[in-house]
Amino acid sequence: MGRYMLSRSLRALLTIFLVVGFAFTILRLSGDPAMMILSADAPPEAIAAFRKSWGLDAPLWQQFWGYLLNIVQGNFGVSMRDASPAMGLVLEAIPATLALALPAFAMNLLIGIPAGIFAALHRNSWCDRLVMSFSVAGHTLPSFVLGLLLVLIFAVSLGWLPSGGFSGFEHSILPILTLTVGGAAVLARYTRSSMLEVLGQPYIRAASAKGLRWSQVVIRHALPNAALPIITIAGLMFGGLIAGAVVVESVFSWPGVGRLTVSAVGNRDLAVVQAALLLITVSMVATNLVVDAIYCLFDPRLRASSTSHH
Amino acid sequence: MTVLLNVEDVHRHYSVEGKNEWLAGKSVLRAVNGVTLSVQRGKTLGLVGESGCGKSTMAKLVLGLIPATAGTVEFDGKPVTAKRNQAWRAARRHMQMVYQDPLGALDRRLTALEQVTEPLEIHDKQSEIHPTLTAQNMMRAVGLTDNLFQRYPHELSGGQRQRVVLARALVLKPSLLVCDEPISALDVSVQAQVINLLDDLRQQMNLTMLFISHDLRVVRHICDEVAVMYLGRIIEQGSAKEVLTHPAHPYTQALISAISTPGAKHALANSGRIVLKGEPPNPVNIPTGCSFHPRCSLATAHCKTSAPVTTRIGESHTVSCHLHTNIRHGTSD
Amino acid sequence: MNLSEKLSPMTVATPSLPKLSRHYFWQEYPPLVVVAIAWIIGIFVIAALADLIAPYAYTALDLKARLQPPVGLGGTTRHLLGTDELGRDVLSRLLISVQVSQLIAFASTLLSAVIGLTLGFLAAHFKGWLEQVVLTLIDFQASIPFMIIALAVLAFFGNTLVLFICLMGCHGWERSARITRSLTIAANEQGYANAVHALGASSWRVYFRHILPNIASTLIVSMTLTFPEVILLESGLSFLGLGVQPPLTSLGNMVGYGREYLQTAPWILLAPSCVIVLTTFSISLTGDWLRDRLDPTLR
Repeated sequence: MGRYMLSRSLRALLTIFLVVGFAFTILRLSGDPAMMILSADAPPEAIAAFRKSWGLDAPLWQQFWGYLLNIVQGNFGVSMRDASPAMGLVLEAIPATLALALPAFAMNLLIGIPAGIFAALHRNSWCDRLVMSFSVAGHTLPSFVLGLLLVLIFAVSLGWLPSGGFSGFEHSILPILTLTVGGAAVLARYTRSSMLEVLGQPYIRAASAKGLRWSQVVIRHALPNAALPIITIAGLMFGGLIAGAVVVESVFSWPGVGRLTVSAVGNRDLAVVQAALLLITVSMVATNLVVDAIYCLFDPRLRASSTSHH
Repeated sequence: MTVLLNVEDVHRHYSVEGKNEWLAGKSVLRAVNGVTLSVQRGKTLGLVGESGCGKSTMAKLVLGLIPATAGTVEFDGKPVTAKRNQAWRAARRHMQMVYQDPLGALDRRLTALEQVTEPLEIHDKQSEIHPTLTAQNMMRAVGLTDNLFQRYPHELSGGQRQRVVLARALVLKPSLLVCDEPISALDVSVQAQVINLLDDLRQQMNLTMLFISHDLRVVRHICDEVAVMYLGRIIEQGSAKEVLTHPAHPYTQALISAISTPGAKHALANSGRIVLKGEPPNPVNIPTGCSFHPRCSLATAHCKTSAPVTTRIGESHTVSCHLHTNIRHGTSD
Repeated sequence: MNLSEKLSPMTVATPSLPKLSRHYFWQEYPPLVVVAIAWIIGIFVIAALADLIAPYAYTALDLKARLQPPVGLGGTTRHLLGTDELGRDVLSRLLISVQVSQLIAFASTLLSAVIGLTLGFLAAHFKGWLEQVVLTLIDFQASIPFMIIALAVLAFFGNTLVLFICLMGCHGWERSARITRSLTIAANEQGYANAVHALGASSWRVYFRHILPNIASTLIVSMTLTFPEVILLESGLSFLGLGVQPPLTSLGNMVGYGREYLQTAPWILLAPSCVIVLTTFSISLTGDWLRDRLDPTLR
């Protein structure tokens, strides 16, 4: 277990390192940062001063090292728009994103998993087909279309809910709903196929042949075995929620990390983009690591193999 | 009688990583641990042993499909390399292989005829007048009827697939045929047919065969000579008749005693079924001394410490055991 | 040689019989799938012929006829789907958008398949450090949501159509690479690839005449998964204003511009939204059905 987690952690660090290197590389590749960040017709002395303060006239590896040091201290430079520290802006936007992502995640689990289990247990019945149709629909419906549709129906036509903004609980209903539909659809689908695979195994038949009631068979034998891949998917989906938030926040003018990133990209505000990129990467990698740990904890095969190696 | 295949003290080691990603230590798996054998032209050598003893690795080493860690393999006087260059590919005309899983060995997208024609396309582009005709004749020779030519592998039975594999291997008229458990995956009722077919083809085409199997009954039927492998070494070798009627190594005796021959009440009544104790061996941890000693009921302290040498005990019969004289003369201890 | 006489015919798996009944046709091709395939064909035809069948140029302004509703809701037959805020014909823009979006999706899916195939083959054939590099890249790609990577690249590099297509082509390659690598390894291990090598075939022959045709069906199914995802990605990015840039128009673009007029002229964004949804739905459905058909282990 220890070895497995160690190698997974190393891989995680490698991924983060790669992303940092990626950001650094394309930052340098995409043109002279001084020109980009200051502007093309800044006076030459200002450009030279900027270069010096950012260390742009130093050799490349030195620049990279300086870059790394800065990042580790949380210093990403300042935003173009209002000269406030980029990381600060990103951190400020996190609570708003979490206010959407966490409830949506919970709803995904609460709706998607039971739906998938139910569909698997009643395979090929009309319930199953219904769940699967919703699942396919939810999966292929783009989140911005869904969001706009919901706005059209609930805000414009019916007037029940506000169409955007941040000032109250009712403002978060539509965005959370939008995020939930896609995620729950995917989760339901994976849950169903994982359950079906487990239910088809010989040991399930053996368990019910032992005389156990079907509900007992499902709870004691099927669910724990199907749980593992479901947990993995659910964990990975959290990352997907962050990405999905990018679009949904823009649709609903929700001041979270996603909307911040989008506008930063539009303005070529590279400092903020880098900060957001790194933050999102780190949180995704951390989530994956947690999923790996849970996986390891619960899969006896992985635990056993790490000790039987003599 | 010339020697077609000569294998001299060949080793094949794998370094095995631990199961957990990159951080565990390595150990050495000795699949083949010093094998010397030779096959004369036109003869059949059977290679027997349990799963994991290194037989399949030997098949690949002989054909040059994998490189040897040490030792030499010579075919028709010339060394066999594992480097996949032009020369290696050209040498394929003379040595071919029949596999344990015929379905896996065939490309499921090609018809039977296309499979058999392919070697001709690869090798004989100019000189072959009509590859399809040659392929069809070969297929008839292995007992496939014309209506099967256009069938796909999944539309054929197990025996028919193996015939296709055989036809494909023999269409270039090689001198050496290596058979790696060719009938293990087939229904028992079909096994005899395929073995008889192999025997007939061997005589007609004057094939030299290396026949690998764990089934001593088949080996007894089709092989001139037998070599018994254990943990990557040959522990007994000789003419088939000699080894199978007068086995000198306790392992060989155990293998033979496990064959139940209908009607042979005497064989079982006298010696009884020898059951080997312990687990089948792990080629990563080869025991010291004689590698068989943990499972041998006659093992002495000497067996634990020193490895036996190969001694000649008959005209063509060799054995690797400290206690072979006792065994042959029926005394124990 | 009279060996064939020794043989008694064994029971064999019968070759497929011809199927005739109409009932069987609807079983093999469920109606929903037929409709989906018809839609896909229609979309491809539109994409190919958009320039010819669009009633107006997609940039043609008609300031006198701004924000006209579609026919049936108060509009005229001059603009079947109405006009947008600059008087441009929604139908024409829709057709051209389909063309642009399909072009991007097609090119990107192909690019991603080629990248994945090449890297997968290289990893399986050469093993060693090359394989480790490819595996790390696959891990990296799979662990970060592509939207984030896309945003970063767009921020740093700006946006031209070629660049955008290349960027979209980097989505989903890890799936093809994984599939190619594992199927190639399986084929090389004990299978037909090993056997054909042993017959003396060169590696090129083994890869292109044997392995590639055998994994093609799995790859194609994976591509039907990637295709709608690219459409969704591209339309999402275009919606945000970061994808296809004006004057070019794409489906996502139209939705983005129509957003301001959600209350006053919803048809501007409803038309492209419907097309997006129906297209991705059709392709997903067809992909699922194809996979069920082509995967013999499910039979």
